[in-house]
Amino acid sequence: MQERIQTTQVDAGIAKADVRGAAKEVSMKVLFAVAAALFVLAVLTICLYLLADAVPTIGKIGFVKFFTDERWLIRSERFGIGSLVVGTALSTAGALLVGVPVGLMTATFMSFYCPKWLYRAIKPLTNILAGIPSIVYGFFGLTVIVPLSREMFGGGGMNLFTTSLVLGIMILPTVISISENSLRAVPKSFYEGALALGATKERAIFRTVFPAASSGVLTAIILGMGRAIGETAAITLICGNIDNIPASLAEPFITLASAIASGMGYASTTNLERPALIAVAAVLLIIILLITTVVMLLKKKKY
Amino acid sequence: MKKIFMAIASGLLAVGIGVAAVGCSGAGDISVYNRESGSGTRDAFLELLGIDEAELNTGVAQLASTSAVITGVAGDKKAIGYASLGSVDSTVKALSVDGVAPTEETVADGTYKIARPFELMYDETKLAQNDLLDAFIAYLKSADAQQVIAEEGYVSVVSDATSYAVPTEAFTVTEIEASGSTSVGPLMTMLADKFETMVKEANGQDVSITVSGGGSGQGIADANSGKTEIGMASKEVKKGTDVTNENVTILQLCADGIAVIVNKANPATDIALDNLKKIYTDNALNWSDIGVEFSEE
Repeated sequence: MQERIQTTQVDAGIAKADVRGAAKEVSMKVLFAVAAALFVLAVLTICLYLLADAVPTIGKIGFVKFFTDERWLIRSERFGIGSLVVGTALSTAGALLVGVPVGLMTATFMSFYCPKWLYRAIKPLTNILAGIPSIVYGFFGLTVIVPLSREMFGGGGMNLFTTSLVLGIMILPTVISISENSLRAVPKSFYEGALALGATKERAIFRTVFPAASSGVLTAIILGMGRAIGETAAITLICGNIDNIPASLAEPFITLASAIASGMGYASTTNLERPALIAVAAVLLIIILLITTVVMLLKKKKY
Repeated sequence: MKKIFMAIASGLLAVGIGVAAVGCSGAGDISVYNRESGSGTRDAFLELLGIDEAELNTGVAQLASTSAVITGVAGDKKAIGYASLGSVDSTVKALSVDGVAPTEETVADGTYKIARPFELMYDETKLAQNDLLDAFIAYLKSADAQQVIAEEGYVSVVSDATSYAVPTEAFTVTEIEASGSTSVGPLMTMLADKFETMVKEANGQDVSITVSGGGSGQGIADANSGKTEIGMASKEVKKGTDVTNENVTILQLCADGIAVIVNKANPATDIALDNLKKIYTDNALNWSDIGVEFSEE
């Protein structure tokens, strides 16, 4: 474009460029709007498709049965998601128990204690951890943690302990990077003010900076929770996939996501088997939507 | 805010410790491995042992593939599992059942208990009018089809099969249907696809062999009534009692054998069918209860 302007008369050139520029601006606006519309359409289609498929299926299974039947046996057409929901909740709680303390302490270390050279090494590490495909975590769990857990508890080693540990590691990068960012977003003056008033470093961090960054830290935890709830590939390998409500850390269990993944290979489309899996997916989607909403509400705060 | 945090965190911790402390229930020391609900191998195993899915001892894991079960059993000293005979490798030990070792021969002749024949039924008198049915039956008996069957982990029962060639003339009938056992169905679908491709390549004709389900009983009924050209059953079918139409011929397509596998450290070499059924229904059972003593922990 610049070359053209130089070769034509300057005034005319500017006028032309203005017209062209305006046309370009409008066309780009349309392009972006279309892209945004496509994205919204994709989200809406997924939600509508799942719900439109799931609601009649749950009706056919029986609303009460869907939520209260104790067994999840696809082939016997027993579609009780109770053990799936409890399994998801327990493994998520376990993951938070492992991932949140370690993650928050790591974030604190990285933003307040860590020397610069070490920070330059740790920061990329959290990014790498975030980028590892989940099936790799699953394989790691299967070959390293499962035998360890078998040694500790007996049984098959595929249980709540194993899954919580692996999931806890998986949510670390989310917890670390988001809480570190929010800790750094708190104005230095808060921290310095606390020190000036005679607080120790620890007191300043935990009593002043952390409360100021609480919404960011909560967001980190909830996003970690979201990842743990939806995690599929890794969990399917290491949870045992048994429709059992675990009474101890050493018992196998099943989650919403792993039930879908392990059932999909065989589920028949001619009866309720496949539709029931879609209904489970819809339940999972609703849970994740709720969590996303909570995160959006939290985001209204400052840090 | 922090107080709420602490409350949540300590609550979770308490629950975690509580859950851990409740600890081991009354489960026995046998690590029972299953396939997931819906797996054909699992369906066959349960059917042959006469176990209802709801009373199954779900055990320590229900895995989504044969290789996952084999890997699990190979790494777990107290394990027991099952897998299609063709896929068992040397990392695990296959047990004899009631004194009969699981081999292709014992599965084929029916002496190994955890095996079942895949039977086809068709009307002999229709072969003359239905050239597609005639050709497809010939293909199923051929070495080409038996090779597919072996590759899928089933046991071939045809000994002197020859290779198959599609007739040069186009078929007058272009559509036939097979119905019945959902266990035979997947194998039949695969064979039908291969046959359709062979015909397409040989003379460019589009033929269609539809495979539908309904169960073995449906397959027998359809063959008797002539509703579909081929009836499929995954159990032994007897002429006279099951097959009442005297024109219907029974052809055994292959046999499906399931091996019972244990860890190599397990001293057992044989298991009684009754004990196997006990293991898969009673989750409080120990190896010592069925006379298997491990030498060292």
